[in-house]
Amino acid sequence: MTELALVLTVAVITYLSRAAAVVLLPPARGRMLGFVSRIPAPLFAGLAVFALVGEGVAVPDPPTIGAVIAALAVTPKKSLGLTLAAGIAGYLLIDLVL
Amino acid sequence: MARDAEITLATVAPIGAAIGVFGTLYGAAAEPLLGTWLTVVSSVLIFSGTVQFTMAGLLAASAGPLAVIWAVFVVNVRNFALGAAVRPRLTGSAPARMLVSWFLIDETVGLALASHESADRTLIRTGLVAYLSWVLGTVVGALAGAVLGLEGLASSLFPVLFIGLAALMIPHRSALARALAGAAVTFALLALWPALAGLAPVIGGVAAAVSWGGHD
Repeated sequence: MTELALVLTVAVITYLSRAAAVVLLPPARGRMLGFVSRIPAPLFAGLAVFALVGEGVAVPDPPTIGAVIAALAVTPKKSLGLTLAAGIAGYLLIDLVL
Repeated sequence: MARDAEITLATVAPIGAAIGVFGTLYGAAAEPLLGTWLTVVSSVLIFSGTVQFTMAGLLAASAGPLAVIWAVFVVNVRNFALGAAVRPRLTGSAPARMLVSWFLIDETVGLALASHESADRTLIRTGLVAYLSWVLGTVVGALAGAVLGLEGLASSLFPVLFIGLAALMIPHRSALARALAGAAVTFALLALWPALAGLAPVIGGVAAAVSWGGHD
């Protein structure tokens, strides 16, 4: 398989996985709607954990821990921009100190 | 309408900037593996940081095509959960939803679910910004080569970004409990079965949604 064929295959798989749920499957109703509405928060929290520790559950470097702590501190504000800014500030602060 | 556009732009601008940085890092990482033009083509056609970094990481580790394809399939399983969550809020026809699904990524779904305006419109607006940022970032990274000094900051933004998106999805205490449960289950799965990799957050998220009812 050439590299171009591999990239094309990956592109097709990725697009089909996106389209399947919003085109092929019927919209959720009733109890199913309640269930799918409960998925995003724990899914994103799980993705945060995965992005933080990776497959091997490695300890993140101190600046990354600083970024995460700073981001968590501002989550009550429910602002994505503020969360990212706090994360960057936390990272740079710890990186500067260490 | 103009105010909606301003709000969306202000909301999505930090995400676009972060995605642009990730795109630059991907371009720098993938260029030695795929060459300049195929690195850019991969971002144009795939438009998924998680998938593309996974692909590049496996290619760098000399993995075969089947291993790459399997890993990509596993990583993409979470798109079913994201799509199922946003599907009830999409009002367009099937062809329109096929178009919108191109922009179905973690960040755009998070904003579409949090926004009070049309989910279709939010996905397209924020998706276009994210897409252009990703491709332009890749071009810069592929042409400029290794970008020294940005890798650490950019990689630390992934968990920060997901924390911010999770926070937007937490309107009350029971949702917070579910988010914490999802994080805990994901951590436990990664510790016990590292091979689950990108599937662990999906299992953790669904398990928390099933077992932690509460009001919504």
